[in-house]
Amino acid sequence: MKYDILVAGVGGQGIISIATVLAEAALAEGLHVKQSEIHGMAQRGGAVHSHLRLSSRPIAADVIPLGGADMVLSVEPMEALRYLPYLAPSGWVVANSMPFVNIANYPEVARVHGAFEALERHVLFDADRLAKEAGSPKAMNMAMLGAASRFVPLSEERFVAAIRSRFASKGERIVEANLAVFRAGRAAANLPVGERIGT
Amino acid sequence: MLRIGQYPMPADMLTDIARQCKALLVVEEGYPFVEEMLRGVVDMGLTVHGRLDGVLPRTGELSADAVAQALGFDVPEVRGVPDVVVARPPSMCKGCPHVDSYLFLNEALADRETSRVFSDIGCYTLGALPPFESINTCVDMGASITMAKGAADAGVRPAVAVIGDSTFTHSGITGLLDAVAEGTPMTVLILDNEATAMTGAQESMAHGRIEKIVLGLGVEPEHLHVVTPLKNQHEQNVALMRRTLEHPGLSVVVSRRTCIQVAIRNRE
Repeated sequence: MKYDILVAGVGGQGIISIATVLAEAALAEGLHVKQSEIHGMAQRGGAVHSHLRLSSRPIAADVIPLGGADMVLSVEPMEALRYLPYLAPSGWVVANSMPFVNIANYPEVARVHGAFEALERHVLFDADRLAKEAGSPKAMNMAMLGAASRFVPLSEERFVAAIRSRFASKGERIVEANLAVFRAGRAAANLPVGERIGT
Repeated sequence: MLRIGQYPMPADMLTDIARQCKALLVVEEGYPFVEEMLRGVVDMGLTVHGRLDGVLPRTGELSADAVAQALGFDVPEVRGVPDVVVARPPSMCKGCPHVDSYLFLNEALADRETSRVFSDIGCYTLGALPPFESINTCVDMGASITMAKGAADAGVRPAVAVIGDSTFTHSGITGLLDAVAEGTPMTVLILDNEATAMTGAQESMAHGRIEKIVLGLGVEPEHLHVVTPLKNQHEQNVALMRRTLEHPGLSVVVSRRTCIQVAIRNRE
């Protein structure tokens, strides 16, 4: 078994947290994990991404080859599209539909969303709204992790345990808040076939 | 396969591998240093491939895919990036002191069409990008001051160097000494955010000593100014900057406010 995930977004959107929780869940499962990050400009609003590789066998390379990612998981819609060359033919794109507009020439949002229609396998939903409705607007990244957890071959319990461990030092209230958003995201990716665009 | 981990080049190991091969592929990041050394040394009767003969791309990062292709593996056809995607360059943080510094510099230079601004390596290099576009050129660490001096020598008025506090410590001091020695008519704007911010906010060796260093080099005390880059001091900073640009000799303006990331970290 191998599962390669390219996590993408804009600096400060919580990409590293997503990758860390995923890595911890996979390690608990006894899998081999490699994670590499581009985060030099993370604090300055640039495009950032992390390569996360999970496998039952030892992994040689730190980075995912082009056309090799089983999932592009993005907390921002245009950033998801930026990494499509990495997506495997059978791969899923799981993306937040809420744009992060910090550049003057950000394209028309409808055109960004429209580009997803060409992707057979994708989940696109407003994770910012979902996190807000679940009571933790800052935990948008956990909504994305929840949606991704539908496809990553690890049990829900592994994710829950990894989230608990990641936020344990911040207290039980923060742990529960993150878990609530995770579960809402997981539910969002489980709409009946036909209601989920492109399934 | 031979992995070269350090210099000097392991001549015996290279000769050994060259004897056993018909062709060598040199895979190295950056410039084709090893490849150039090998050509003409061990390439008798064997072919050396690498960045120089185009088997690997001459520029850019060496991706796994580029190396796979160089080794003759098939690279799968992949999806393209949709046309709708635009570049998202990094920008200065919200609350960054450099933002206020560039705002007062830009306003002071607004009616000085012949001005040129030379800058340096750090977060503040982002001032070259919109919305500021304050910087005309940037080469390497410390070059802002020497380039501004060269421009001033060639008659450019006003010639401005913009350099960060730690870059100034690293390699700006020598250039400033040169400008002092020759009384060059230029303005050096030292953006002192009290941190080497771009690499993770390490403390600069000049921390707390910038004015002493500048005066020690021989800059006239009346032409050394210290300002605070804040919105509420914008007008007076513009006025001071205008005055220094009009001064027919060397001036240094230190624009000092702590890096916003450090300030946030200290508060936490």
